[in-house]
Order: sequence, then structure tokens, then C-alpha cells
Amino acid sequence: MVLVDRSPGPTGRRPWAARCLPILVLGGWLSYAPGAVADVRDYLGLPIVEVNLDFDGTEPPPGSDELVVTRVGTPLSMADVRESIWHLFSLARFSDIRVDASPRGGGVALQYELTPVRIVDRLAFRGDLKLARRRLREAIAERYGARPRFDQMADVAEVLRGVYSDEGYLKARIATSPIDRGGGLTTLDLEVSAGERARLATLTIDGPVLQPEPVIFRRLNLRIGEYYAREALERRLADYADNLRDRGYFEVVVGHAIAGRSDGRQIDLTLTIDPGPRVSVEFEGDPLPSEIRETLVPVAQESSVDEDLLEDSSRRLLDYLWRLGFPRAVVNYRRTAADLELRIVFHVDQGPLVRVGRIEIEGYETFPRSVLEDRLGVASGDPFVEASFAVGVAAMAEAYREAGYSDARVEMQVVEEPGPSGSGPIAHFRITVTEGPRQRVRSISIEGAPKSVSTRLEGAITAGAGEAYERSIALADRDAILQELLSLGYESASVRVDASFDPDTHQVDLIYVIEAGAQILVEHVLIAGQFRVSAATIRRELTLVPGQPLSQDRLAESRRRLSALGLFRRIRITDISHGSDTRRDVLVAVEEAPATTLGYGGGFEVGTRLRQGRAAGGFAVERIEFAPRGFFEIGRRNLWGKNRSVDLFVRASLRSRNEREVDDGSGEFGLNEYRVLGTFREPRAFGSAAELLVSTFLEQSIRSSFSLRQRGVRVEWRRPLGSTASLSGGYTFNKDRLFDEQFNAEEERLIDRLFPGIALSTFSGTFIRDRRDDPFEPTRGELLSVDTGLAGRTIGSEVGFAKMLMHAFLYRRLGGSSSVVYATGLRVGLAAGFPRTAKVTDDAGNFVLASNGQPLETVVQDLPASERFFAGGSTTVRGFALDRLGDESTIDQNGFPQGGNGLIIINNELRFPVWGNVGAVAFLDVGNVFETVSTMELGRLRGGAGFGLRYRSPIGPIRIDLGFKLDRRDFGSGTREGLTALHVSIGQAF
Amino acid sequence: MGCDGFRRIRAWHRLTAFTVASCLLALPARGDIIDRVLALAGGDLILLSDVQTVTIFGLLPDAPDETDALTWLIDRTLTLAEVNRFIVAEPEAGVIDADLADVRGRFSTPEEFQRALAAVGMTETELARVVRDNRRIDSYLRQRFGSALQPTEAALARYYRDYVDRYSVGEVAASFDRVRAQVQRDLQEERRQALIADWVDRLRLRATVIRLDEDE
Repeated sequence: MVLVDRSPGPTGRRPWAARCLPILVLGGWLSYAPGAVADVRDYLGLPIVEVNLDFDGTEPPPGSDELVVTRVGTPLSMADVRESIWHLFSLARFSDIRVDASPRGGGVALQYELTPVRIVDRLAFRGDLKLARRRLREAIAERYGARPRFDQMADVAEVLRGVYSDEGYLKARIATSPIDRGGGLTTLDLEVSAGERARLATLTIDGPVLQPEPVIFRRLNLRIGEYYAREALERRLADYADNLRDRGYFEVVVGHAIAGRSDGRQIDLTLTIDPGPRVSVEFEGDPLPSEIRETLVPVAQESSVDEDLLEDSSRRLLDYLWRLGFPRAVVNYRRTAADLELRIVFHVDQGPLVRVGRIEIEGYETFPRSVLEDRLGVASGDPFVEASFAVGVAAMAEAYREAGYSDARVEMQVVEEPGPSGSGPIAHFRITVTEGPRQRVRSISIEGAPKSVSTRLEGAITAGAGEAYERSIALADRDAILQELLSLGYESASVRVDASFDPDTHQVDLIYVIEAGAQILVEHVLIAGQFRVSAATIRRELTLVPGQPLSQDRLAESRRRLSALGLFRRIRITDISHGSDTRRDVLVAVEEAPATTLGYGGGFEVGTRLRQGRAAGGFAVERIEFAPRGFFEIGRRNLWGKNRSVDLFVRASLRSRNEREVDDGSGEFGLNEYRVLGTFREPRAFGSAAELLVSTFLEQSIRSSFSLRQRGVRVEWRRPLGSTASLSGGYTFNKDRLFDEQFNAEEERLIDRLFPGIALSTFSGTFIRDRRDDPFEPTRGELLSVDTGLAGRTIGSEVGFAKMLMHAFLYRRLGGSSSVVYATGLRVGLAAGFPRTAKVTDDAGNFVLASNGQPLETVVQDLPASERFFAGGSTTVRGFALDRLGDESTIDQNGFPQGGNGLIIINNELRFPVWGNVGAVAFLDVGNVFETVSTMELGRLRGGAGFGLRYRSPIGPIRIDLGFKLDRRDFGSGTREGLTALHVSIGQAF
Repeated sequence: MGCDGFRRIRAWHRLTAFTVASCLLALPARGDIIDRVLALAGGDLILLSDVQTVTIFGLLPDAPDETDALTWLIDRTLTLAEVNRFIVAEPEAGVIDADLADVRGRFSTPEEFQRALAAVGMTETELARVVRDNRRIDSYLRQRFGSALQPTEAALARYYRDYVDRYSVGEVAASFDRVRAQVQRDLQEERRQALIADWVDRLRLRATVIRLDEDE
């Protein structure tokens, strides 16, 4: 370096550079020196020409620009500077914030220097550790969490020194050095030199010992020359103390102290053991059950003979005896101490048992006697418990006061007489009610309400002038007013109700006295933390608006709505107060969830399946089938910054096809059942509250009588109607193809024969009202849904039909709070096909010609198989296997269901708990599938009854149901239906 | 080394010095700090402008420097958080008005007062809130630590002996009996202040307090 040559030059002068050095150093210092604290008055009011945020090289938190309220073009105000610092600091991302100002072209340039919080996210141990790294990490995490702050570095070393000391490494040295990895993250390098582990040099016991010292040392596994380990020693000492307590030394105290010698290799250990006196608790007088003695006199459990504990024990024994009807019971105790023994003797004298005799109630008019007896809660023959009577009499008086009899009095007299020989006295009661006049509300007023909200508060009052005064209603109104005030931002509001009674007219003037306090309004709503989600999307869900009241209701609602978006891993909404009593900023800090979601899973399905049995003459036989299945789902949320999403769902099952008959044992096993579904979801479509779903699907399914391949597109518009109802409408265009049909060829429906492949164009609408308390295991509430569909040739369908399916379910708990639930349901399906002519074809697909040589035409009016109703199975009528409910019009002679245009299902089920998570049900289901709507008759309903077990698992109730048919019928082939159907499934039947 | 060699070296020196100087001048000069975070007390920020509020408006009568003002503000923040957990009687409006008038009186003109407010980013309402909170803190401390135990005669006598100078007029010490009431008041106040200091110490231990001014 040239600047370090300070030798004089030839002329005796120092070189030029050396002469310039002080100037350069000064120049450099001026440039780098920390900014001086300015007289801000030099800058105040100047227009801001530039605002820079310096994040010290780290990634700026998203939305941080918005948090700075010192905007270019506005005059500089310190209030804005302060507010900006508050906003930025509330992100909890910075440990320091400075604001520098400098003059710039007639204005002021601001620079926010933000120092990111430095987090120690990695610990690197080096050197002679002697202890396991995991142990050291756990000790640090226990104290400072998994990511200690940078400024806790010194404390971390101290904690580790403690850990080493506890293990006998008295001279352990720990040096810490941070390694900055950028982005506010630091690796803390811990260089450890554990040193030599100290051994026990001497052992001493301080205190009156019960055993010889060597015995105690052996018991505690202590030997001279062994290593010292604090935790292990404390554990053994605690065991020793517990052992002494078990032997009656309830006040035993143990401890230990160490003194390390200067070389750090030896320790002098002193044990403190004070066993205290040996305590025995005895009872004399009237006997008490042993469990009562142990529970109410918990000397052993508490390991204490404290005077308070003994007094409490006496009181508990007395309460116990009073509750049993021994009002004259006496309990006391005495202590006798001798040497190292302490004897505590409880004396119990329970006295005579007193029972309740007659209970006379007089003077009542308003309530029937049964109501008053219910309030009293005591009946003749009960043990006399004075406290219970006092509570009952007070409850009677309260009943009158609640009904407007504010002067009502209830008085009680007790007359005791000797009971029959061999039994205790009898207490007879006379309860006199003086009802007094009933008070009516004369006027209702509100005092102290802010003018702007008084009308709204009046609307919260349900009591009315002229009505009977009921205190409970007045209090409920008070609470409603308070709730209104809180929702209007009066967070420190209080309301009390003053009732002034007029003794002459028996009228009450109700005055709700309000101390509203200041109304808190939202000043700014600040949004931070979002990367991909646009601020507008977040803002749209917020019910907190600048200028509007800041209420906890709105805050909670905003949080709920943001959570419902499913876009965020964490949402923090906090109100920030800075200087103003009445205005707060609301900071919405979010942490986005990953935009791409991935899901996959696998499992298997075991169920009965209908197959054609060749040996049975093509008749349907049920076979147990095992089908492995799996799914994969990938989704992308938050498209284009909005809450739009796109999902792809693929599901496939390994099953054999229907085409092969089971008897030949060669079912074609493969991915014969699958579903591919792609969905685009646009919430709040077109600025409305409705969401738009566009989906395309490709599906192949194996049904009881046929297999079906479907592909198509669907557009659905769904709008919530309040919190319990929704309405949706949609359009579907799909192409269905039937194959592997198992119907009896002679009975196959014409439409299935003429249109094995069919295009359907359908408009549909659905209304759902769901008021169940739990969608998976409802115990109360109702569910109503109505699905409608309309397909027509004019809109591109090859056949036309109209269809409606209605579900109505009701759930009730029996006997009030009982856990027995009664569930009932009604499902009705109605469908009709629109007639159309079609050319008849033969099996080879050629047109059948009429006698005139033209293709023969016929009228088709059925619904295609994919749209017809089927029933039977675990969720419909459980006496029947899947889809096998029907009669000769909808089940062919081989026993294969053909479906129908009419459906009725009625379910009744009683659900009750058995033990723990196991419950049971009894059910009666009736229903049927009808060929047409006109043939629907209640007299043709078929029933199934049975019982089942439920196990409440984390994934929902696991269900086993066994259904019995109430009527069995023969198929055309002469085969009789089976009696039972067994169903194993997850979730309730309905 | 010849003259040319020297000249060459000097030329290099000049060039290097010129380059360094140019770079330094080209670096943006750091501006004046107009506000910054000075401390974090139990989750509440204390800014430089808060400290200036204390000193400019004389809210701490002993006229401390900014370090003392910051310490006082940290303790005040922790105490106020504790006070806000309880219902403390609001000071009467007249009392706050009087306190504010007292603060205003420290400025030569109303304009000067307004300029001072602007310099710390406060409004009169906000200043009134600070004053009100100070009163609430006083009220709470009186309520909580007001009933100090009556000192014994021995304690009073010992206190008198230890601080006899306080009760002297010139060289003459007033007799204990004459100043007994004053001694009792002083001792009780001292004990009260010790209790408050101990309580605030415990508040500090419970809360997270980070002082950034100590980093420098």
C-alpha cells in the first residue's frame, strides 16, 4: 500500500499521498460514519422526493412497500415516519429500523434501513464433546426453541456449560462463533472442550439418618471414585424420598450439593436427608368407609400434615356426613408427637340420621306445585341436608323473580319430631310463598348511548312496555346491547340494567345505562406476506374496511374467510395502536401455502358383486370380490394471483370385467374401473358470491348389470344461500357407452339395445339445505336436497328426459341430552323419458326392414341405463345387496337389476352408544324401484330390518350392518332371494 | 532508486489517492437519522422520537439525558402494560388539562409548542394520552404500594440517625421528636420506592427487553 510510507521525501516533506492521507481518511469517515441524529425540523414539511427501503441484502417481505406511509410527493411528517416504523416492525422480520433523511433537490429523500432478525437455524458442534449432540441440541431447544435468536448466543453457551456441569464436566469450555449464511440465517458454531469428568471424592450425609450411611449410599448407588451425574442422582434421591413417604415419612426432604475441587477432577458430595417424623393417621368413633377416609383425608397423597390440610380434611368429612343426612355430626382431630413419631387421630361422631318428612307448600298461585317441587329439588324420605333446602328455597324465589314477582318471598319452617323406634328424627317442612304483585314493564330507555347507534341498540331489546317484567329477559337484552356495541367497535363498552320499581303501580322502568367508551375505527388495512396471491384477493375477503368500526366479530369473520380460501398456511390479523385512542391499523400478515398440492393414496375394496353364473344357467350369483385401488391428485391453487385453482384427479381399481362368467375362472383382471377428472374452479365468479366449476371427465365403472364408460364436460355454478343452504345450476354434455351388459337378452330395455352408445345434453339444478350438527355423524338437524335434470333433443341430446331426486333426512337426540339418536330419511326419485322414434337394428347393427322395405321404426321412451334409479345396498335398503332392490318389473328373471324411473326409500335408524367408541344401531328400511312413475305404490314397498355396529375411528365411523329381508321373492328362474345382506363400510348409512 | 523511479512512484501514489478519493466521494453520503427503533419492551416499540418526546416536553422532571429517558420509557412501558390489566380510575379531565398546560408553559410560544409536537410526530391528543397514562400509572402505584407498613420506633430512630443532615438547619440538627412525622414520611416513601423498584425489576425479568442503543 502506498499510503503507509511515512518517511520524509528528499525535500524533507512527506510524500504527497501521505500528506493527503488525513483528508482521505476524513473523507472516508464522513462517507461511512453513522448518520447523525438530525434536527428533524430542517426536513419537516419538505416534499418527499424519494423513498428507499434497504433490506440489508435480504429478500424484501412481500407487501412491505405498502406498509410505508411516507409517500413520494407528500410533505414529510414525523407521524407518518413513526407509523411506517410501526407497520414494518409489526412484521416481526426486523430487529432494527432506522429512517435517514437527506436533502435532495429542494425536497427530502428518505431511506429506511431495515436490519433483518437474525435467527440461529443451525448448530454446528465441534471439538471434544463427550456428550451426544442430540442431548446438547435438546437442552438448547428446551430453553430457546428450535431456532434461537442471534442475540441469545451467549446464553446458549451458558446453557451448555450447565449441561456439562450436571454431568460432572466442571471445567468445560464452550466458544461460540456465528457464521452468517445470508437471508438473516446464521449457523452457530460451538467449539466445545469438555475437559475431564469429575469423580466423587467424598460422600457426606447431613441430617438425622434412619439407616447407616453405607446402606444409604448403596441404595443411591453412590461410590467414591464414580462419576457424578446430577440428573441420575436426583432421580435416585426422589425414589428414596418416595420410599420414605410410603413408610409414613410424609415430610421427608432430600437434596444434594457438590463442591468441585480446583483441579476440576474431583467432587465433594453432600446429601441432605431429613426424614421428618413418621406420621400415622387413625380414626376413632363412628366408622367411615376406607375410600372416603383416603379421599377426604389426603395426608398420604399430599405428603403433608400441614394444619390447613388437616382442617380442610375435617371440614370435608363434616360436609360428607351432612350430605348423608347427619346434621349434628361432629369431626375433630388431635396430633400427638413423640420422638420421631407423629400420630394424628380423627374423631368422628356422626349423630342421628335425620330424614325429610312432610313438605307442605302454601301460598302459591302462579306456578303449579310440581314446578315448585322441581325447583326445591328435595323429596320426602330424602336425608335432610340443610344446604340443599336452602338452595331449593332460593331457586323457588328466583323462579318468581324471573316471572316478574320481584317482591316474592319464600320462607321455610322446620319442625323435627322423633322417628319410629330404631330410626332417627324426622324433619317436617312448611314452605310459605308470598307471591306479591306481578311487576309489569312501564318504560324502557337507554342512557348514554352514542347518538349514531342508539336506534340500532334499541333494536336489540326484546322486552316490551306493558309486558310482565322478567329479570332474565332484561339481562339477556343487556348482553345483546353489549354485543352490538362490541360489534360497532366500542371495545371498552359496558352496559348495566337499572330496574326501578314503583310500589304503588307495580310497574318497572327499565333503564339500560351505557358507558360506551371510545369507538375504535379502522385507519388502514395493511396486507403483508403474500407472494403469489394478490392483495386484492385478500382484501376482498376482509370485512374490515378503513373508516369502519373495528370489531372483534369482523376480525374473526375476516380470519375465517381468509382461512376458507385455503391459500394460506398461517394468517395473523392484528390491530396496531400507535398514538391514537380511536383509530387503529389492521395488519393482515399471511404465510402462503404451497401453490401446488399433491395427494395420493391406495387401498382396497372388498364387496359382493353380481356375476353371471354359467353353471347356474346365467343366473346372477353374488361373489366376494377383492379390488385394489389407488388415487393420485395434483392441484395448482391461486392461478393468476386470484383464488382460482385447477385440479387433476385420477382413480383406478384393479377389477375383473363383467364379460367373463365367474365359473370359468378366467375373469379379465385389469384397470377396468377408473376415473379421470379435471376441474377448474373460479370462486366469486363474475364478481358474485357464486363459484364456477368447469370440469371434464373420463370414467369407466362396473355396475351390477352392466359396465359404463362416460366422457364429457360439465359447467356448474354454485351459490351459497346463507350458511346452511346452497343453490347450483349446471350443464353437462356427456357420451355414455354401455358394455358387458348382463341383462337377460329377452328382457333388455329397448333403449339399451338401440342406444348402447348415447350422447346426453343435460341442464341440472340442485338445492341443498343442510342444518346437521355434524356432516359425518349427525346427532341433530336436517338435510334436504333436491336434484333436477332435464335433457332434450333440441339441446343436443339423443334422448330426452326429465328427472328429480329428493332427499330429506332428520336427526334427533332422544330424551333431551341423551346420546341415543333417532335418524330418519325419505328419498323419492321421479323420472320420465320423452318419446322418440328410432330405427330398429339387429344384433349385427343392421336396420331391420319392415314389410314395405323401409327400416322398421319404434318409439323409445325409457331413460338410458346410466340415468335410471337403482336401490339396495349399504346406504339405501340394507336387507338387499347393492342395486338388488326391486320386483319383477325392475329385476330380470336372472336376478340382474334393470333400474327404473321411480324410487322410494324410507329409512329409520336408532343409534346408541355401547361402550367407549363402540356403538350399535337398529334399523328398518323400506323402499322400492319402480319401472315408471305411474306404477309407484306404497303397497309395493319392500322392507329390510336389521342391526349393526359402529366404531368411532379417526377417519369416521366404521360400520358393519346385517340386514334381513322382510319379504323374500322368487326370481323368474325360480331362484329365491337370499335372506340377509352384510355391509361393511365407512360413515353412517345416511 | 533514481529520480525517475521516485517520480514514477509518486505518480502512482497520486493516481491511487485520486482513485480512492473519487470512489469515496462517489459513494452516497448517509443522511441524518430522523427516527429509529431504540428498544423493544415486552413487545412494544420505543422509538427515538418517543425519547425525544420525553426530553423535549420535560415529561421526566429530572431532565435526564436520552439514555436515562430510554430507561424510564422502558420501565414505563412495562408498568403501563401491567396497569392496563386492571381497572384504574381515570384521572379527571381537569388534572390532565393542568398537566398539559404545564407542558405548554415550557415553550415560549404556542407555535413553538406545535413545532415541537410536529418534530416528534405527535398531536396534542396523543400527548394528552401520554400525560393521562402517567397519571394512571401514579394512581396504580399509589393504590398498590401506598399502604407501606408503619415503621417501628427503632427503625425511625435509625433512619433519623443515618440521615440526620436532612433534618438539620445549618449546623443544628432538629430533635428526633420534632421531626418524627417527617422522618416517618421519608422512611415510608423510601420503602415504597424500594418496593416499586423491586417490582419493576421483576417486570423487567419477566418481559423481553432489548435495547438497541447499547449495541453502539
